[in-house]
Amino acid sequence: MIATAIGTHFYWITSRAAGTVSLVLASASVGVGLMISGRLGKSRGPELRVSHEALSLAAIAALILHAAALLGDSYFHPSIADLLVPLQMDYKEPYMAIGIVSGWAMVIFGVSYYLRERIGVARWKVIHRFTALAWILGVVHTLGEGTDAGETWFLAVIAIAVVPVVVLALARMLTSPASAATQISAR
Amino acid sequence: MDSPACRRQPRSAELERRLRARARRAAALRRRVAALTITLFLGFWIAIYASGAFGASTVTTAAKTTLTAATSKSRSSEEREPTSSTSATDASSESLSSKASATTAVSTRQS
Repeated sequence: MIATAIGTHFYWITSRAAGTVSLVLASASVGVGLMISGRLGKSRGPELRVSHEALSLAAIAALILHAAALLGDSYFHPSIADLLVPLQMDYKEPYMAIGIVSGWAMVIFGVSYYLRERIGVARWKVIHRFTALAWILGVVHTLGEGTDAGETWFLAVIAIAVVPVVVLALARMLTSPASAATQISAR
Repeated sequence: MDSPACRRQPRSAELERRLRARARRAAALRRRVAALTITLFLGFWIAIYASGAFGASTVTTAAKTTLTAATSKSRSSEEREPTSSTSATDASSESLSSKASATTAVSTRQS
């Protein structure tokens, strides 16, 4: 009976688990990124950079598994285009489209790190900030579409992953050079 | 007197040692992230499976409610008319079985 249940729901559970892992790792990666750019990461720069890169790559791998596992789901049975093109699949829109846009943005902004020499470091830094936007869209997709969004354990996991990042982002915004310059000019 | 090359030698050896240590730390960090990813994935997989919510809680509950209502209705009709004809009981159980199969269909579809 357990084997039948696992067989029937295997791809569906795999996709949901991979999606959750992707969000948790992306949250950790964004958090570490904020620490690197802020004052918190000055002393442990190289280690944080390695962690940031590894977490990002793991989040992208989990994201690919999240989408790929749906291809095997007997109920959804989506085409590759359904999973890659926003608004192609008429299921829980607009959250599905938000998830696809967020996924693409995560992959493109993540991989752009390896092309920063070509893009230009200054330009790449500007582009890289949009990763935070992709992450926000991912959170919206998770809470809006997520089958587990009503589960207490799931909401606890999301809160543990998201709240520290929000706090770090607020701290980063308040201590950014722009806000410091504003404070100085106000004096 | 030390030549510049001799003076540079220990420095580069030290630098090499530091770089090797940094590479070791980086590899350890990557391994830790990989282990964390696999652990999280297995943990969430088990949690989702154990929660038993396969994405159809509302629909399945509605179908189950219909099934329960049908069961109690058939029971009460049997209690009220103990000598009722077999055809009526058959019809009732037939509708019950069709609803039960509907429940199964809904649960399977929602997977």
